[in-house]
Amino acid sequence: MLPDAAGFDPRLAWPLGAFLALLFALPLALLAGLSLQTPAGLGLSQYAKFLGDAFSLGVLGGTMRLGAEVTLACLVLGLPLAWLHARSSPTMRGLLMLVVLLPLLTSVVVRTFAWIVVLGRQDIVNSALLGMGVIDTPLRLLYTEGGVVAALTQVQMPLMVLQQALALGDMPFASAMSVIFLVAVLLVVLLGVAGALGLARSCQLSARALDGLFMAPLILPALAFGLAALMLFSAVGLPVSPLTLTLGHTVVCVPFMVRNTVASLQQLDPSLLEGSATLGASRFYTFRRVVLPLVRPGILAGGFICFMASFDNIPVSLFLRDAATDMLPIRMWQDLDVTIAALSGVLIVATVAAMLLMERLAGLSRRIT
Amino acid sequence: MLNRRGLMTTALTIGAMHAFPGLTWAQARPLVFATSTGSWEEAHKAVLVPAFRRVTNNASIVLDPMLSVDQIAKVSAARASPPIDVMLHDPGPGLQAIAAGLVEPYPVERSAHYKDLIPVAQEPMGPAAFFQVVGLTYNPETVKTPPTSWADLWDPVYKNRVGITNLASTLGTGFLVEVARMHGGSESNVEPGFAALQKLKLNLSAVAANPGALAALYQQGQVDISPGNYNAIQILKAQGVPVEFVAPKESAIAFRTTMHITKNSSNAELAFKLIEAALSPEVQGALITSPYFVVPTNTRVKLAGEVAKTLVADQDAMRSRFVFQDWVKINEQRASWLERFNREMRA
Repeated sequence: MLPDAAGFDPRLAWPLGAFLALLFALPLALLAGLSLQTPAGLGLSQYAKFLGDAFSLGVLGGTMRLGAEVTLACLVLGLPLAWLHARSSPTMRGLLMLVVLLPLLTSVVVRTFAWIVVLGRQDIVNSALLGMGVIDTPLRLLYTEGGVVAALTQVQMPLMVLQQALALGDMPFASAMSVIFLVAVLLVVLLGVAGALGLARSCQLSARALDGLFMAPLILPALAFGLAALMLFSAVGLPVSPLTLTLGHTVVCVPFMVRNTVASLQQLDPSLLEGSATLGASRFYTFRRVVLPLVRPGILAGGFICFMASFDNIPVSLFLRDAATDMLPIRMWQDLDVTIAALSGVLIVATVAAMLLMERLAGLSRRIT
Repeated sequence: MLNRRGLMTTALTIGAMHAFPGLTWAQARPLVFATSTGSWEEAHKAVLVPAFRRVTNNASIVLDPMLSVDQIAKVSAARASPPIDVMLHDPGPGLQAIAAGLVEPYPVERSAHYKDLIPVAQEPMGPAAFFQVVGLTYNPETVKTPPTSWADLWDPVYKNRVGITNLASTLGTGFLVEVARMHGGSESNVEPGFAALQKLKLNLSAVAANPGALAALYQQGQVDISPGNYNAIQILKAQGVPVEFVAPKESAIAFRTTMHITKNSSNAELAFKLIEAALSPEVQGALITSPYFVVPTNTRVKLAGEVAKTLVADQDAMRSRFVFQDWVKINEQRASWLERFNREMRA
C-alpha cells in the first residue's frame, strides 16, 4: 500500500507533532538541562549524588520493585480474564470489558479513598486473627464497617454537595472547571484526529517517530511533565492561567485520542475511499461523507477517554492551574476526609452512566485498544 | 439552529476569551495567598481577608489552599515569576523554604506588630501568625477515663484501638520526637521513640497517611484514641463526631505556622499588608473565638474562652504548658526517619 493511498497527506500530523515538540519535549529537555547544572558548571554531579545516596536509591528501588510486582500480579490476574473474554459471547465480552475499564476511568482519588476503607477493614481483621480469641471485636467491626460506607454515602451526599457549593464559592468554580476540561478535550480532538489521519496509512520512518512522540505523554510520569511545563512557562514569562492548564491537559490526553482514531482508521477499508475517488468525490468530500461517519465511534470513544483522563489528572493541574481556578480532583486529594465518600459515590455513578451511554453510542468496549 | 459552523465559532470564541484574561493578568494579578486546606481556609476567608481588604482599599486577593510541599514545588519551578505571593507553612517546610531561598526577609523594621509577638513566633524570614497545638484525642463514648499522658496510648486496654499518622505529616513527626523525649531522647536522639513505636504496634489499629485520614478513622469508629491536632478536633466536634481533646501532662506540642513573602513576588507590598493583618491583635483576637479557636502569637491578644479553658490560660503559661520543638535539627534527619518509619511500621 502506498503511504497515502487513502488520500491523506502525512503532513496532517505535523501540527500535533509541533505542538508536542514545543509543549512536551521542550519542557522535558529543559528539565534535563537543569539536572546537569552544578555549582561548578555543567556536570553529572546531581546524578552522582542521587545514585550515591542510599536513601534515594532505596526509594527508587522500592518504586521499581512495586512496578514489577504490580506487573506480575496483573499478568497472573489478567491472563485468565483475557482467556475468558476471548471465549465469551459478544454480550458477555462487552460486559467484561466494561467492568475491566471501570476502575481505569474512575477518578483516582475515588479509588484511593475506597482502598483506605477496604484496607482499614483488612487491617483490623488481620490483627484480630493474629490476636486470636477476641471474637466479638472483629464481628463488631465488620458489622459497622459494612454499613458505614453506604450510610455515609447516603447521609452525607446532600450535605456534601451543599458544603462544596458554599465552600468552593459558587459558579466561577464550576464554570472554570468545565470550560477547562472541555477546551482541553476539544483541542485534543482537533489535533488528535488530524494527527491520526497523517499516521494511519503511513509506514515511513518519520511517521513511526511521530507515533512515538504522540504516545510519549502516556508513558512518562505526568508529575515530571507538570513540573517541567511550569518551568518552561515561567521561563518564557507566561504566568499560570487557564490557558497553561488547558495546554498541559491537552499534552497528556492527546495519546488517547490518537490511539483510538488510528485504530478506527486502520479498520477502514481502503477500497471505499478508492471507490469514492473514482466516483469523482474530492478528498475533502470523501473525508466528510465516507471517512468521518465510519470512524466517528472511534473519535467518540477517544474523546470520552480523554475527558475522563483530563478530569482525573492531578499532577498536571497541580502545577499549571492558577489560584483562581479551583479543581475538584485537587480539592478531593488535598482534603482526603470522609466526606469524599459521598462525592466518590456521585462520581462513580456518573462514570458508569457515561460509560453505558458511550457503549450505546460508540461501542466503547470494542473501541478501546 | 445548531450547526457545525456555529459550534466551531462558539468554541473558538470561548477558547479565545479563555486565553486572553490569562495573558493580560501577566502584569497585575490579585494577591495569591496559599493557605492550608480545610478549617484554615474557612477561617482566613471569614476573618483575615475582610481585614486585609479594609486596610488595602479593597485590593483583590485569592486564597489558594495548597499543601506545603506543593507550594514549595510550584515556587521552586517558577522562581522568576512565582504563582504564589504569600506562603503558609508548618515549621518543617517553613525552614525548608527559607533554606531554599524561596522567601523574602520580612520587613521587620516597618512592621507594627512584629515586636509584640511571642519570641518563638519572631522569625525574620517570615513571622508566625498562629500556633497549632497537638495533644491527645479520644472518643468519649468508648474511652470512659480521659487519658492524661502520651504513655496512655501504650495501655493494653487500647489494644487495636490506637491511631497515629505517618511521618510525612508535622503531627506524626512531632509525636515521634515527644515520645522519644518521654523516654529520655530528644530531637537529636529519636532512638527511644522508634523503640517505643515498636511496642505501640500491639495497640495500633491504623497508621493514617495524614491528619485528615486520621479524622476519617474516628468517624468510622476504627480508632478510639490518638495524638491529634486541637483545631482539627474542633471541626470534627462541630460535625457531631464524638471526640475530645486533652493536653497531656508532659505538655502539648505547639507548632508555629509561619507566613512568608515569596521571593520575586510581584505583589510584595500587598503580601506584607496581608501578613501584617494576620499578626494584628484584631484578626488574632477574632480567630481565637468560636468556631476557629486558633491560638494567637501576638502578646496583646488576651487568651479567652475555650482556648484559655482547655489549652493555656495566658502567654506566660505557654512556656510551661507547650513544648516548642527544634525543627532545624528535625529537618536535618527527617527524611531518614520517614524512611525508617515506613520500613519498621509496615508489618
